[in-house]
Amino acid sequence: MGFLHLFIVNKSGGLILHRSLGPTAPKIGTNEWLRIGSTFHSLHAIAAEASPVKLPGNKNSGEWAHTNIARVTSTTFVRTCVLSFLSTILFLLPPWHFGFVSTIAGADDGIEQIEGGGVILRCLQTRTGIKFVLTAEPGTSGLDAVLREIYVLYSDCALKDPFYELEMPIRCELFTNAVDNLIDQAMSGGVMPR
Amino acid sequence: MSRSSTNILDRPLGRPGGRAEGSVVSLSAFAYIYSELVQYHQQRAASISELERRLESAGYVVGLKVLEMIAYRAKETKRETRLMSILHFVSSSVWKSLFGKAADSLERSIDHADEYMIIDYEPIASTFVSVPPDLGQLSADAYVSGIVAGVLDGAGFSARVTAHSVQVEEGEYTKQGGNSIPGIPPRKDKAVFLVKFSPEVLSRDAALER
Repeated sequence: MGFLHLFIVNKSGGLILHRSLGPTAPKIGTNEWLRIGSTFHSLHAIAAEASPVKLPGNKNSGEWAHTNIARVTSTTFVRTCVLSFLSTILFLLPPWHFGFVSTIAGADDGIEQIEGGGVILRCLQTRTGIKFVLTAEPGTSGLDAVLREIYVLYSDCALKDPFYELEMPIRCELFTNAVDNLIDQAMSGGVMPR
Repeated sequence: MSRSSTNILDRPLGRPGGRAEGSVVSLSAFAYIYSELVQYHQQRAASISELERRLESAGYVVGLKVLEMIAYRAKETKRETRLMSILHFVSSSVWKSLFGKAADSLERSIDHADEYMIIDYEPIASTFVSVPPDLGQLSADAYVSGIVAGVLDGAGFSARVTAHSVQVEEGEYTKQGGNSIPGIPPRKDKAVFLVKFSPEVLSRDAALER
């Protein structure tokens, strides 16, 4: 049990941050992460399209925490996409068995969670289209709370930093330190959502 | 006339210390505006030192106005004429009115008699700022040093004030709860405002000493 990796994708699919969160995290280079980021972005968009619950303008809005939504159907199409996505790039950890889970809290549409035999991937999409994606070993709890806390840190440390440009890679020392701090806290005692 | 009178002219001015109802500004609001201010000047500055100078001059005018405001609001109307008392005034009254707390310490330089240092372990202006490595020695608190210079100049103590970011040594500063912003780890650097008085200010102070 433990967190593996955090990556943040901007609204056009560019990777703006990736950070390894634990010793068990796979060693993948930045170029690979760029590819994973944009592939996830595309899959997310496909999943949103495939969703049976749709509102006009392709915007599935809803209450931030509770309503909804966009139950990702395991259509064969999406399933195949995800399978090829994960098996080509992500972790080669058998056995594969996938389940799409739509849960409360988090994104309005697209993929919220992907479960694999050796990894869980959880995504929080903000209103402006930035996606915070956290991968962890199965059985790790508190992914949602951590993601929300990372969202808070992003709004504090990156968006209020005069030297950070929107949609550009995050190079704020304060943010990375705060994320490390948060993960330590989550591993030792859990994070209470604010 | 009752204190809760609705007419703005009848209402008392906020108390010094900035704690009066309605006179406290949200830190986020300040951070966003300050961030824009820095970006505005960064686009127009060719070098790090020019950026600092621009921020200082933006703060300078604020300093002059802040001095007037604090002097007006003070209970006893007194003009500071001595070097040490104006420094105390800056590090306590001015700091409290601007940031809601006094500066952490006021020190005299060992090497130079004309230099003093005002130290703040949690400078508000740079709360959310991470200075990128390519900007090196830039201190994001240059704006505040401009304010200090404005206050001192307005009071008749012309001085050159510069802000420096200095690494905090282990165990030098410990505060319960770490950083005042939840979730963000404690700060590793402090802001040192180096005040270098002009020679005439020092000679005047020496003359008053006698």
